[in-house]
Amino acid sequence: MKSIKELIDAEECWKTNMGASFPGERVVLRGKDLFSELKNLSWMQMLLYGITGREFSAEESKLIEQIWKIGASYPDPRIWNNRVSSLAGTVRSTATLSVGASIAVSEAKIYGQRPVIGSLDLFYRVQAKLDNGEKLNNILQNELSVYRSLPGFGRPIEQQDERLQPLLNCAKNLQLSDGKYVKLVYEVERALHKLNIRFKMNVAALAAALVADLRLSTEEYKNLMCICFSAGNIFCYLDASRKKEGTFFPLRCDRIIYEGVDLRQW
Amino acid sequence: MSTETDKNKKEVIHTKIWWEEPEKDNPFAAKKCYCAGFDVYGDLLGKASWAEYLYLLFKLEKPNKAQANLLETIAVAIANPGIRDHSVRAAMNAGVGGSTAASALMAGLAVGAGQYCGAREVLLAMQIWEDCEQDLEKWENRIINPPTEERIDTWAPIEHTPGFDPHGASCPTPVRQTLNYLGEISGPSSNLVWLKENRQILERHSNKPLTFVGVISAALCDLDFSPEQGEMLYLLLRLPGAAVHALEQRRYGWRKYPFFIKGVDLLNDPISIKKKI
Repeated sequence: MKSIKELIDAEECWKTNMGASFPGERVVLRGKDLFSELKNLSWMQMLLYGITGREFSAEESKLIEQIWKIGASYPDPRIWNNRVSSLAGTVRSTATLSVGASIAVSEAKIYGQRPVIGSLDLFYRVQAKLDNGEKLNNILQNELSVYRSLPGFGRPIEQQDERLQPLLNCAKNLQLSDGKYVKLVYEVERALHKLNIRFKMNVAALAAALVADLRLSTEEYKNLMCICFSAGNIFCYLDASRKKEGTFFPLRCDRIIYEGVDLRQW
Repeated sequence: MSTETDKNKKEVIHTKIWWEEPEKDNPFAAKKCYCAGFDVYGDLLGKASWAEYLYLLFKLEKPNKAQANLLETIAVAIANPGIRDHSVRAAMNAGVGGSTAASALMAGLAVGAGQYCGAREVLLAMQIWEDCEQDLEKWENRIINPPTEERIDTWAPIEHTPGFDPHGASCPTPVRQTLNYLGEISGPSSNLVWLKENRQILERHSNKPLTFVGVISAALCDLDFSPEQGEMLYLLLRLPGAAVHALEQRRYGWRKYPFFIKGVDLLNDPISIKKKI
């Protein structure tokens, strides 16, 4: 049977173009020697090359670093993913466990990975529909009526996003702010304003537009961004682990508002 | 019980599951803990079985005997997915390398969360049960025309019909044994009995054999768990196997564990390409 043959063929045989290490000798990443052919790449350039198979310039790589720095590295222990690291720190778990858990928690709906990926997906779908002759207002209204949200627009707690201008300035300095998708993201924001829809652009939308102009696919972006919050996680773990154990936002019993059934006997 | 106005506008946690009375000398220590209204340490301890307490935590109601028996049997059936299961292998990788205990379970959870034999597949299979119930025609349509999503998510689209094995030849004996036994302890109108009676028809539609995911999804629907609850339970209840195999392989050590030393076939090795040229 074909289904079993696929397993038999793969036994002891992982065919790959991604790479391998040859202990005591060399490392190959996507067909190039890491120690010689790729020796001048920064860590971020190596990550981009490994994910996409394409080499990115120092400026493009720096833009991604700045997206991570400005958009995703806040040392604030109240942000939900960071709070996991703070809790790990206060109970004296390990740094690695805290970051591993926080990264996993970053795959959230109201912030984090899903809006990040969703924004890029939105722009590619909007652009495809524009190319097909549809009007921007109609596209946005249809998105909102079907999905009730626009990834990258709106933000929990505070609508105004303080990260937008620093990121745009950075992109301008790197001469990477004039692409088609950066223009589109501002067109979308203006269209929403005219439609009296009170969703303001957040940093995920601008970041997505910038990487769309670098021609990253949604799959590539998904893999690139999965560790983008890790710096903030580490900062919060470190902070909590250096303070008295168990003292991170302790909760009294009476902070529980019980809304369940009355007391009863088993 | 506390009310929100008592808290000087401090932020609070809302719950229907848990309530605590503080000790008089320490507002941060609980004197009594209540789960869905039951005094956990003053009443429930020694009376409720693990399966009954688990059911209570999820459903906020005490199960009847049949429900508790079904949940406990599910828990036994999937407690150890086996040493070759992907999630258990992930946990053993933590074991052989001397990683932390939590990392072994986190590895088991991350891999066991997937859409091939994992908890996400359980959620998707339970959604089919919700949509198609015990209607063969609906099942056939769903298998032939699976729903598609216009938007990209962090979850990739599933590559096979949930509950059926894309690499299977026929329905494995343990899957049939589990389905038979769970069917025997369930009512005649249950999903499990319906699945037992219609397994081969569904396997013909999907052209793949039924899996543990398919059986357990039906059982969790019979217990009236939501797909989200089923996903959580599947993650939780398979952890014992991940734990013990990780501990065991830690003792055996990496030298006795497969490294697949000659397993990687690098198709674009620059050195062998140069040699060919």
